[in-house]
Amino acid sequence: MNLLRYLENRIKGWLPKEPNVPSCQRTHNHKAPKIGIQIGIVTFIMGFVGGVLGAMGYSLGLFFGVGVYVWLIVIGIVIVAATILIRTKQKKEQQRS
Amino acid sequence: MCPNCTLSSPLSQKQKTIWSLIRKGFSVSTIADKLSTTRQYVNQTRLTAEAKLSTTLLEVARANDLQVMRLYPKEAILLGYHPALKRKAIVTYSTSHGIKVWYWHDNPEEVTNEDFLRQTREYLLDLAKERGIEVEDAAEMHPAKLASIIFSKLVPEVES
Repeated sequence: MNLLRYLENRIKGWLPKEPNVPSCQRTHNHKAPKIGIQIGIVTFIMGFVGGVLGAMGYSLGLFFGVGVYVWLIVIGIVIVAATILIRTKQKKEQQRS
Repeated sequence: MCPNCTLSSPLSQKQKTIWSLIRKGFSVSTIADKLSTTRQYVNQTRLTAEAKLSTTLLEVARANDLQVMRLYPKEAILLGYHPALKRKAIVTYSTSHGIKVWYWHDNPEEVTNEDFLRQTREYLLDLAKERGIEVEDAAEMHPAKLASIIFSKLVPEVES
């Protein structure tokens, strides 16, 4: 199942007011720290993967020949995935407001 | 004001019966025949019931800090917005369960309280039955999804 299909199939909808609903509390109280943690984790993973690929670039053949295109492919995949995620988030925001 | 009326159940028994029959699609004259009364009485009671429900929905919205976006007096539904939660909200009325306030959830599966989910499904099935809405596989569906489908049929602004 691809990412888009998975996101479309996730359950979203209306529920009555309940005092201890986690998603409500998080949106209300802890939104900023959650986004900060997410950005931190993504930055750490990207730095780690970049470091490993940079260190092993010569042995993996990523700096010459066909290997150079691997970078472009990876960057392309990251951009497409990020676009899909951002658009999904925007749709959710529109539905919410 | 009737002695047994409360904020969550503002209608008298007679008003409930007439409002419920009208929502089920019965004509005024059929209801008048059924209840052995006049069409004028049915019409008057319907108008009083709608006015009472509208007032109650607005009061509930105010008590819950909701900005009113739209009121549907005939359906007894109010569409609102909670500025602090930054979420749309819906206030509904059912004759058997009274008033309920609903909020949009991105991850309703986080709510795992079985009793809460069962009661929510029961409320929705009553609400749908009262308004003559049929939903396939309603018994197996997650209540949040079920609510989404029912509300989208009642409120044009809500997408399923």
